[in-house]
Amino acid sequence: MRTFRFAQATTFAGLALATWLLASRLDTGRLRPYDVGIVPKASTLRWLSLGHPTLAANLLWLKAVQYIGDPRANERGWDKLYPLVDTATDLDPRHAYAYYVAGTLLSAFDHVPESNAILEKGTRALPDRYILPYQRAFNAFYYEDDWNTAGRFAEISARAPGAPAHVRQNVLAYYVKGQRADAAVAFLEQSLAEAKDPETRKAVEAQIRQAMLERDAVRLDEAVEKWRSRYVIGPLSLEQLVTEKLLAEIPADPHGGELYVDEDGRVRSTANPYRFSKPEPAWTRVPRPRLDKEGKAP
Amino acid sequence: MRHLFAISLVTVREVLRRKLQVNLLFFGVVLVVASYLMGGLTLGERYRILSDLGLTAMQLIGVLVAVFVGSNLVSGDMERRVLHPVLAKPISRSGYLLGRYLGLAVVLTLNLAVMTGLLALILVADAGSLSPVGRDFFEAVALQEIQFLVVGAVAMLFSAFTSTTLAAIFTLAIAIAGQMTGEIRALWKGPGTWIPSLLWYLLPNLSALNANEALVYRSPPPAQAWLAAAYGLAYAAAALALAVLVFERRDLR
Repeated sequence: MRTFRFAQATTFAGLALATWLLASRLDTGRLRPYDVGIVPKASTLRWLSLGHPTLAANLLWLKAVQYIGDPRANERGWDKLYPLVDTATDLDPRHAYAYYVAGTLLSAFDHVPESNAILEKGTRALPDRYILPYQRAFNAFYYEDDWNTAGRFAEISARAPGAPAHVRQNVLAYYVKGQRADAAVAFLEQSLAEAKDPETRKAVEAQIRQAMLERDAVRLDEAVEKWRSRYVIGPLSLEQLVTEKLLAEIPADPHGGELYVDEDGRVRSTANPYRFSKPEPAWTRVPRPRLDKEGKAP
Repeated sequence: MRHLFAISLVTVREVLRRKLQVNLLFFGVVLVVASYLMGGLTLGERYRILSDLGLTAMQLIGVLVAVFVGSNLVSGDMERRVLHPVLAKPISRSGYLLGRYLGLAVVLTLNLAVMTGLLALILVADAGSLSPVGRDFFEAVALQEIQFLVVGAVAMLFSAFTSTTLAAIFTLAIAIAGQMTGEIRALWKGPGTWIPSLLWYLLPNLSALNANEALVYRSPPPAQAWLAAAYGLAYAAAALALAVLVFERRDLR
């Protein structure tokens, strides 16, 4: 009996040791960053969810959160974030936070076209969320130097319910820098027609004056530039441009003052000398620092 | 009517003592609590994960109880030979069957009440206010109750003419297929569209009774949901009527 018990105990100890040895050789998964193998198609998941697409979307979102949250995510790369969130939002198109998070992270990690795609999809699915087109506008000007597209999406954002008043200023700035001050004027005139309270009207009227100045000043700046190419120095007054037939007439200052040419050759108003700065040409700019493996700028 | 209530009361007592019922309810409670833990894994918007997973856990357990308990009620009595002494008393077969169903419905409601209370507690504790447990929450639960009643009625129908095992298999298959009929009908294009249409009318359209999305977005269920609720009750009543018809003609020897 004692021998039998000893044999049982020895067998158990042997098996336990073998299990421990095998377990110590198993890949725990912690050795490499969390990754996603295959992202199933939305149609397949819709079938498998048995009438619960939001559940499938939420489970996929939890996967995406794990994917985002891995401390070694930059070492692994971000290739699966777009398919994960794209599928999750196919299943649940109203998942606003997923669009926002993916849109922000993808652009920050050099996946700007994918970021744009997810933000545009969110903008279409949720026209009442101003933040999605706002973020898309940011991508356009910050990563792509595309001021017109930035203006277009900022305009969509500004029209969304609950958009902060400063988004209107962004529309103005983007359109002006994209040489489309006329689009800014049109947008702001519509905003003025919709504005109900006197404070908003006052603010929009000031923005319209600035937009009109920028629209007219572009023509004037070009005429000044032509003058300088002829005479090396700038004109003493704007009237000289009319005399020289570089301009048909001098437009009125929308701010109610007088227009003049400053030392840099830019036309300004005496009533409000502010002008939007010209966007820097891409070739003059210092390249944006690429993020390192820990997600920090060197 | 007195007999009907007596049978339903006996059914409630009997089912509440069954290990299967107790285990499933325990598992349901664990799943609802697990949804709270899962909510901690997300990035923002915890409510959407808690409510969606919690409601689905409740649905899974409720449907399983309806399938496995419901399919055992009549056929189990026949297999254990306890049906004959009951029917020897002045109780009609239809009264017996409806009494069993009524008891099942009470058990399903009790289960749902326990899980609903727990989920409500979790949502309130997470939000720190009573706001998540509003009208939309109770409407979603009400639609789920109707789903259980439909599945229970289908289980009674199969239980009335076949064995417990087969009744459970058939009912489970119909409960799964019932979640897909809407998708099948919407996606089936080309020739043979009468097939999904036929399935649509024959099988219970359970997906129409899912209110997860409405709960996640805190919006009232669409107007169609109340039509679906009326449809669900009508379907359950029709399944029970067919069960009575079959059971009345069944040779019990």
